Amino acid sequence: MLVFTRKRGESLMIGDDVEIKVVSVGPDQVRLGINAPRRIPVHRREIYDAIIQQNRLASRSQVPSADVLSEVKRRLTSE
Amino acid sequence: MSESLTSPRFGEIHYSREDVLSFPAGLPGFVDLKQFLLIDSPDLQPFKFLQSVEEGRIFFPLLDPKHLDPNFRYRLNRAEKELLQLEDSDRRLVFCFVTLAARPEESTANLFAPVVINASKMVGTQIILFESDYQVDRPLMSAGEGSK
Repeated sequence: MLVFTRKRGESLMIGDDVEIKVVSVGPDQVRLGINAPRRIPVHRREIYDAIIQQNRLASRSQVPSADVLSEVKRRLTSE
Repeated sequence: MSESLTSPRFGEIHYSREDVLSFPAGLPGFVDLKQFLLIDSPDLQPFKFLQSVEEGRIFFPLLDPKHLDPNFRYRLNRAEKELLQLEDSDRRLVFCFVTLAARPEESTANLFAPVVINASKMVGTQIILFESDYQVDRPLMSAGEGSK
């Protein structure tokens, strides 16, 4: 991993079009500003990981049997 | 023009190019999959399915989030609207991914990261509702208990 030392207000460029700027620095956290093209999604790592995990689980779904479908239908419409 | 793919779940699927939904950003965990079909069969209600065109064995069960939370709300940011090429007159669909276990009691729905589709332009993306309290794994069978 590349490691840089930056001061408040300084930034890094990744390629031509992604800028990561140090907005403020506290005792145990930093605030970062990101300038990136809209086609590049930017997410907090731990949240993104949770979504990846859940998508993988969803893709391994059991095929709903007729019994499951009728049970789900009954429960979802009985509220 | 007619095309077809073979899915272990749905068998041979015939479709035309106009039926293909484009997901330019892929899906988290599946960023290489950019083309999907929306499978909507009367036999499978209330579920719909997002079937990958590129990987026949990959599909995701979908559910209208209103089934789980009648007050479900989402907002698109500017980047998401641009990606979806969204205009006011476009028809928009929203679904949550469902993880279907053998027993409905163990099945969950992801309200935190719904899929939004611009049906007028056939473009979709999965958004993340950072500001919400929605869960990624809300039990399917607790419908009506509110969103928190």
